[in-house]
Amino acid sequence: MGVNIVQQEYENYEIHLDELMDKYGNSILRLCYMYLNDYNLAEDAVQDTFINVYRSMHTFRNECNEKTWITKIAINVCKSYMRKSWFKRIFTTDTLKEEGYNYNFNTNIDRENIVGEIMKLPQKYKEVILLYYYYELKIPEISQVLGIPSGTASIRLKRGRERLKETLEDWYYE
Amino acid sequence: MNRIFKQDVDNILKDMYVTSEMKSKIKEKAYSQNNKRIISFSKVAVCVAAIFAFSACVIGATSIFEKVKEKLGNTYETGILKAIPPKENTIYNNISIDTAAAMTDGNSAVAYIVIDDKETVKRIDDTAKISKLNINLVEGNNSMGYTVESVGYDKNKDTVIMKISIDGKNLENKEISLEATDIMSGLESKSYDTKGYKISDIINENATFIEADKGAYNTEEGTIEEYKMLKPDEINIPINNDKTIYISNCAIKDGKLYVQYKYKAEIPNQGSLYFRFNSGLDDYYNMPNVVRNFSVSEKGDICTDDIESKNGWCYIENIFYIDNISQSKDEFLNTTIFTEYDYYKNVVRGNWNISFKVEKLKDVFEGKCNIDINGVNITRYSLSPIGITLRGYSENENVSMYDIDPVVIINGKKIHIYGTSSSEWILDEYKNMEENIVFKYSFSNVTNISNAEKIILGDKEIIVEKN
Repeated sequence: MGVNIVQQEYENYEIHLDELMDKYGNSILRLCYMYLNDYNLAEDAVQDTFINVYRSMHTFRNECNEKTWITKIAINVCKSYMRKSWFKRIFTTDTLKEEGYNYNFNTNIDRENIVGEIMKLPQKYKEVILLYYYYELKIPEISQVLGIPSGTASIRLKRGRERLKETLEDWYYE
Repeated sequence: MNRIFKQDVDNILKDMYVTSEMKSKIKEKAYSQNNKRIISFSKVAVCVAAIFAFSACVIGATSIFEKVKEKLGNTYETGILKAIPPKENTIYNNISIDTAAAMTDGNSAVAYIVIDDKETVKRIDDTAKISKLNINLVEGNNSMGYTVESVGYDKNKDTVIMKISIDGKNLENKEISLEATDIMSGLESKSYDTKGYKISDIINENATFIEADKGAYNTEEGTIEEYKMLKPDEINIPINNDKTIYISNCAIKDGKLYVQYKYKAEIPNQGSLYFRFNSGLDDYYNMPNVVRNFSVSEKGDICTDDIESKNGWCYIENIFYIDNISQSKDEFLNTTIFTEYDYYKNVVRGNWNISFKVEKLKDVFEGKCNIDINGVNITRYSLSPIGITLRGYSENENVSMYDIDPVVIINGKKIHIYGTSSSEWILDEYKNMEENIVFKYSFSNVTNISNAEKIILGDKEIIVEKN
């Protein structure tokens, strides 16, 4: 890993926030999008993630690398969204059209492609697959980010991979 | 698989990136010391910005329209806004709901409603929420998509103003009906509290498991399972000071944590509660695999899948797969569980039915253009006090304009339109290959556009023609 941006002086945090957004912004946005299956929510999640990053820069210690730290914040933001009643109501039931309005930009993604297949995975497999293959974290880092034992992360990765194997033959190889 | 996978995903999502506008918004919020709440870009969530902007507003005038006039700024003064007097003044339980203003630009509509409590006892406040709201086009009785935002509260007069944005086209002079059921207020909300419960302290070692009358739906696996459930009310651990929310039973069985809670309720959705686990170092946000609503009758009969309250309480059982959180039961018992909840203390029951007509706004500027963005050829625009509508042609139905944050320049000032776009592909309807896609963006508030100069879309701009 390169220079640990977050460790620098507090008065430089504003500059660092810029750098962190440049460095991780796009991948965090895409990660949140695939996690939440909704672009608008992903935008919100990116905003909340970097605001949380900025506000907790002074608490960052070198217990994990900054990529893991930021990813952990992003995942927690996504999970907190998913626990909200309106999320459950809008995204996990069939009452979408009756209950409210869905400004969902998913339609720009071909649901048959690799992204669509990942987004269809059950949450517990999707998050591990995303963090391992897309975000390129190691199993111990995934364990830190998700707060699950490494063994559990490995098992979920294996099962998620098995599910993808059938539908993503073109992409998949061991 | 690693690199190819990542490259493919990045390639597919290449148009999805953090824009400079987005960065600016993040920085603005992050650096703002006084900003304790985070403004949401999303229209799906309540428009916090609008609430903040107007929460301190005092409504002094007496007529219904006067009450929202302030919300409409100088759009009213310039005569571009057509306010339609309410056709009905519906009072239920001594609370009236009236339409104060309604308008359309031909592409979408906006209505302002005023909820007025005529009793002296305080029953509604700035957290007021309509429990169930249906918007219908009277002609054909078609249900319409909408978003609703609370945009004003007068604590002296117990009046709440809500803005309803309605999607739809060709709405001019159409009659729209609104059905509102039950108004909730007095929101008690707790999140990220430091007080938690050690799992071992709330476990009921003698918990009774019973057979549920229905299996519960496992949202992750998509299967019906979990016929076992806890017998309710074997323990009662109050969650809040008012003792309106309790943990009503809790036990571990077959590698799963069962936690039941209940909240005092006149109506469903009066409360919601979430659990967060903490090992002492990390928070665990694992979603429950199974959530089951149920009711308990006065006689003690349990009916699962029932969100109504039969004995004055609504019950919910969460089933967590704890092997995802800890490796051993002992380790898990030392975990702390935190509760986060929203609970509306006051409910005013009622069923308000009103209808109103929407008239077309005078100030709607339309013109032709020729701009290519994200594979879409934008050929026409329409700018109104409600928002912007762009029409054009795309060969791809699944096209996006999400990275465009339109800006309207009015009197030299930039007016942003935040993330409230919707789009539709209309090829089938119009059979017109020169124009098959529509994008709509809404202003947060009705905006006077009489001095609009141009619309900026990314690095492209449209000079507004005053027609």
